[in-house]
Amino acid sequence: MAYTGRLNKLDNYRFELPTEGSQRDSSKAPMRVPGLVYAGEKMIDAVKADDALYQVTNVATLPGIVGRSIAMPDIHHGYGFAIGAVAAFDADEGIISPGGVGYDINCGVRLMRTDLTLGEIKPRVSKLINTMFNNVPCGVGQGGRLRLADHQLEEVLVQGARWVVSEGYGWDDDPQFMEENGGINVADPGLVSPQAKKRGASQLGTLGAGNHFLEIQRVDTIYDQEAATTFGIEAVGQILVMIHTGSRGCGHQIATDYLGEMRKANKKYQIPLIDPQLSCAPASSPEGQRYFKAMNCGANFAWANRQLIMHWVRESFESVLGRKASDMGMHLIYDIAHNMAKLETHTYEGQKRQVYVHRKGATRAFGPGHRDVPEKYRAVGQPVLIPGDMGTASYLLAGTEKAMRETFGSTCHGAGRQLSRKASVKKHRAEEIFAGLEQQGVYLKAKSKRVIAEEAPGAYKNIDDVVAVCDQSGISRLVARMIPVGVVKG
Amino acid sequence: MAPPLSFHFPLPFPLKLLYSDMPAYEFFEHTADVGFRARGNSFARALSAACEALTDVMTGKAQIARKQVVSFEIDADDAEQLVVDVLSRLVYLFDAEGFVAGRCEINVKPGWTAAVTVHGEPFDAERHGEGLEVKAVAYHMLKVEQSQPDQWLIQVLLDV
Repeated sequence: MAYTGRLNKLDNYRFELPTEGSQRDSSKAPMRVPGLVYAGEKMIDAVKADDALYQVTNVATLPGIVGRSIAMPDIHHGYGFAIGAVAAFDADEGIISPGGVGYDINCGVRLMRTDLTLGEIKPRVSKLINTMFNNVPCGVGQGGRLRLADHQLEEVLVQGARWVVSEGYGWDDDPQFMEENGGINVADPGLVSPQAKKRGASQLGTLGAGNHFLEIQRVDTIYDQEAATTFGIEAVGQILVMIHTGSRGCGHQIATDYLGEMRKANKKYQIPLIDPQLSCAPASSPEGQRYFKAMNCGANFAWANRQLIMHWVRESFESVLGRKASDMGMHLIYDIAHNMAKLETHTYEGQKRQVYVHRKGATRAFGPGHRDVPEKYRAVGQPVLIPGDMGTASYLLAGTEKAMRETFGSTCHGAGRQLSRKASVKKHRAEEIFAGLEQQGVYLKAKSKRVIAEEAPGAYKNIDDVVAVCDQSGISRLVARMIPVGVVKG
Repeated sequence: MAPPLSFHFPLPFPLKLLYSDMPAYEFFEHTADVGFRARGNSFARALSAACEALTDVMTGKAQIARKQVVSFEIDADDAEQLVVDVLSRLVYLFDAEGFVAGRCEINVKPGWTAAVTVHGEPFDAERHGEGLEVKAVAYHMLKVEQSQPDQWLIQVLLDV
């Protein structure tokens, strides 16, 4: 349902949803803070078209929210929190909500560099993609190549990518280029159900389906050469690999289990809710902490998953090109989470505050000098990875000081859907998409024709517009633009 | 027992009379996800239709053979939680056990306890691989409504 509440334009890239007159119905729970929407003039009508802005106002009603209920330019209607939402809650007085994380805990992106150029691999792109497609299980119902014993899965849930690397699937320095070094310590596998473990045990190292992908990309534009060089990108034409996937069934089941638990907790703590998907508990309560420690297990699974997949991508390049991955400079640039709640320290109104920052379809974008940014990148700011959809561009950005001040160090996460899957299938035929991509020089290998039609580039908002708003509003800055040359879809 | 056919509600007039107790469902559009409305002349029937709708989404509307039977019981606090828990169990069976649910026989006892018997078969990528990957059953937009003594509606949004 289209948004008909108040919306005040603050400047060219920001709109405010005031606490009065924005909600559909404020009788159940009034907004505690205003909403803040990052969007350009030409995209605001599309943002208003669905329920997303009402969802921003719903989040603003939750106890302990600090600052603003924030919407990124890729915002669209989700369940509970909108997708593209950021909200921080006071660690002592605020809540934690699985609805602010989503089912795909730590869905995220990693980007790997190479020394290769398009000229060097062009005749081998199809072979590379086919090899990656065979080496990385993908699609609906597809199990993984590894069968983890119970104690091994526990290690994954506690250590994340670090355990995978210690088992030989990766390089020793890989984890230092991941958010949280690829594993959050506050994780308790004893709080993860046997069902979640079982879904996880068979799915580590799988891509999944839907909007998840593996892409061989070439650097198309460099906006900031100094930052790009710091991140390992030297020139236009350089080949990179992007991986977009999450915590698979393990995270989905953890979220399902704890949403049920949170519904009960919500009644116990008598928190008024506009949408049951926003069920939550005080972050400091036993229920809140149980969810936090279980959710972090799901996050660790996701980092392990992307690590394993990256290892098999390196092996794919080695087998097709006959060279060692290390000789091709296949270093990890960075790995980010875009569905997470994290305990962070932020300065708000001159005071240091401990907050649980919920980013649902939003990316952490810490600015220069932050101690959580790898030392190698600290002068520039955190690398921010924005995946496009097949056939469209992806972006590498850097976090900024302004993001630290305005958005709890957060920015957008992708293009955001604008067509439902059904509408996309009606409008696009898989064969035409294949042909169109081929004309653009993109080789596509996919498990399902239906996924191709559903994930057609036209089903998404224009990613160039989305990142332009983030750059021009200053909550991250453009470093490089990449376009795909080969795509693997589930 | 109703015949193992699936019709989209509302049924044409004569069929509606003949099979007025038959499970039925329809899908609705949502930007990022997939939703459906399932109907039945009892809560259990509507829930059974919801199970079939879920399988349709997960398999791309494949025909499911009756080769195996899985039974389970679920106890919930309310009707909405029972819907989420039963459907979530089918997602789990599909995802972790490779079991594709076909026809579901559901008996709901007072206090929102469901005894579920599922007829289905092992996952076969050739026949069941064209569906959407269902991550979870959402609470958002979840609705259980009884409009008449014999008319139940269950509305569900799936995260895909």
